Amino acid sequence: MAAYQIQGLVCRYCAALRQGEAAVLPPDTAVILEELPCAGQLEPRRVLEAFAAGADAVFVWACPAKACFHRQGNDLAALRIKRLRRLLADIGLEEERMVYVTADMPAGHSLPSVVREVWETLQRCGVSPLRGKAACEVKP
Amino acid sequence: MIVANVKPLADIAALLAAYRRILVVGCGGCVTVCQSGGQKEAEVLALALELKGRLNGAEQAFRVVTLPRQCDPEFVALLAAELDDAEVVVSLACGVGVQEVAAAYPGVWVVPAQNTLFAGANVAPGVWEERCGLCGHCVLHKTGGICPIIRCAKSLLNGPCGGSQRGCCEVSADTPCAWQLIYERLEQLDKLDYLMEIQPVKDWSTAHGSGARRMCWEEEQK
Repeated sequence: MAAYQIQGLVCRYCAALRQGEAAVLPPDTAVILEELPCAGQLEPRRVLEAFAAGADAVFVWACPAKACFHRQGNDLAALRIKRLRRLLADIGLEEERMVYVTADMPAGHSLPSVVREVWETLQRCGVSPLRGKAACEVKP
Repeated sequence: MIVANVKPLADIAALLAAYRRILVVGCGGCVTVCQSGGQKEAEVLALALELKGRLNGAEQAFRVVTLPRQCDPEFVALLAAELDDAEVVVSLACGVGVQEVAAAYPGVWVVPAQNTLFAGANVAPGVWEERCGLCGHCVLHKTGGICPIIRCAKSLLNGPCGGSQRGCCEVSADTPCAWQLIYERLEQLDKLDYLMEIQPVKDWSTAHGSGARRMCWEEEQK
């Protein structure tokens, strides 16, 4: 089992796994990617579900700042992530586990570099404290 | 619209510490529009409480349901089929909805998840502002559709206090002077003569202060 589990929520217009990139991801890390039609479609519920399912960190990979493919989805996502980080802190998880990367950041040019950024964060935070704790039931 | 804001997660968690089977009830009315207590927010609250509980070793099970509204008995009645073995209901409605659920189910402990703030409007994306003081005696026809009761810090009825500066209230530079707004609006509509009429002392008997107010349609009661 991989040491770290990372959930990526990626905007379909700026982020894609290019051929061969999977091979250069950190070997101790499992990355699950979910495509969003736009980063502005980021649902807080989806982020919490990822942590509930065992993710050590969740990243959102969005279009360059001020250059959303649509209009302002990435700016909205950035604001939503601010609120989500506060919620994570209220829950008792480190805010750093929620990572926001835009394609114009040094870390945002390819999936391996995004994952590397998150992986470095996890070196500081460690695995999720939720690991090994029995999940309770949440029925929608 | 009633505007409300979710209580801090730690406060809600503390209110639920003694319970194991928890029903989180969202409201499809005003609090869905102000994005604090609809289906999405109810699901997020349940998940956040579950994660917090998991970290603290609590063994709690959550279910989420959203009623079209919690302020009408016909919708509150729908909750009967959802209660099952829930020990506590967490309502994401405004204070009205919380009370209606509590009244309809006397044997169920109901906990409010929100602080109900005011009757207001959505003035910008993500921003709601108070617009009505619910005083029971509307004067908007005299003030160009701008309420001096709630938008003037002193609820003045006969013009500004003299403390406004550059169009802003002396109480806060972020608050426009209501009487400046009223003047500009009446000037625009060529109705400045409305300001010459002296308003009598306001009849506050229709406002808060003598218990819960009531409105009745007689024909509906027969």
